[in-house]
Amino acid sequence: MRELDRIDPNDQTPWRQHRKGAAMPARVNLSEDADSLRLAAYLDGTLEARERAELEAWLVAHPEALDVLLASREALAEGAGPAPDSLVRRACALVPERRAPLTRLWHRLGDLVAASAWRGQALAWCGVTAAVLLACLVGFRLGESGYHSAATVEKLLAHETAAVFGEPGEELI
Amino acid sequence: MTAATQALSQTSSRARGAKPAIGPEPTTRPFAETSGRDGVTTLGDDLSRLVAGEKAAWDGFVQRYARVIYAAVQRRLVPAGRAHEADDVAQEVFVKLCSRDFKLLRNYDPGRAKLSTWLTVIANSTTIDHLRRQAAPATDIDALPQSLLAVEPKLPERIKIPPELLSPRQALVIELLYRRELEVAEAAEVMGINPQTVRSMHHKALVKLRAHFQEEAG
Repeated sequence: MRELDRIDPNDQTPWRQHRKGAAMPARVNLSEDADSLRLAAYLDGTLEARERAELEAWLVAHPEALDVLLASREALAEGAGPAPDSLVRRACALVPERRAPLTRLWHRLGDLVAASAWRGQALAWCGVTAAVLLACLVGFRLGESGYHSAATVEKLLAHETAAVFGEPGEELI
Repeated sequence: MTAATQALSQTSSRARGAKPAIGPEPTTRPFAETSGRDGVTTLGDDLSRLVAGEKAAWDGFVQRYARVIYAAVQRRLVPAGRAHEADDVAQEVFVKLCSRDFKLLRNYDPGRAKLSTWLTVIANSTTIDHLRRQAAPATDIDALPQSLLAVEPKLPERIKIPPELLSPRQALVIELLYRRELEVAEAAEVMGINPQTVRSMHHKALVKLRAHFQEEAG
């Protein structure tokens, strides 16, 4: 079965290792949604006869997929040791803690401000804008109340003048 | 809810009477730390919560299956002398799994294959792509072992077999026995059939090939 055995038994080992390990593998053009599941199903023996036949024909035409199948079979047969803690920590960190919508919005705003390099400048501009708006509002209110006060004083003065001197056009005794 | 998500929540076992897995399933219950509902948690339920973005389900998944992914990645990288990249490639697998709102995991169907088998396939294809993408760093020729510098023996030229000559199974048997250098028993295990069936298919394939090439030679 082994072609290399017939060629030169003494030289086969390094070359076999070299071919398996160091050689550049072909690019795997697996559609990860469908093909990887079909390969896994093939390994688990859950494909129906027709699907198996189709996959086997496909494997003959796609040696890179056959590579994946054989490597996966060997990996599963060997079993798995423990994974490094660093990998588990990094992988866990890929999905963040979920927050309530309001908290999430608040944190997002906070993150935005915290992450920006112009945080101090932004805060200063916010302060200046708020101060200008406040000054405008206060000025408007003061001006409005001042106008009303002036009109009232004028009315009162006219009334008192009329009481003392009579209405305009009336003869003084 | 997508069909895949419904499938996830419906079942956790093999739907079609699968034979026992090649690799050992982990002995503890998947995502056990996040289980609920009268102490019975199915894989489908766990995955449904996972693809919904639940942090605890993701953490449980990582803790449960990191070793499966890491072992598959490392097994492929070690012969290439790049075992130190195993952490990064395994992380790449996890990134792939949770990217695009867990698209890959959403399309996983527990009724078709075991999760550990499917993850092993994903890990292997990711590793092969990684090796392909990043060419091996140059090594000083003096640092290479003598055996690697030997001249490659001249391999026989690969014969061209007409595509319709052999049945798919016969073609796969020939591929596994000759190109992949598997023993009959190993090929039988890969294909999930009896070794005697492999021998029979091998024989029939050789008869066909012999007839074809004799005819071709006139």
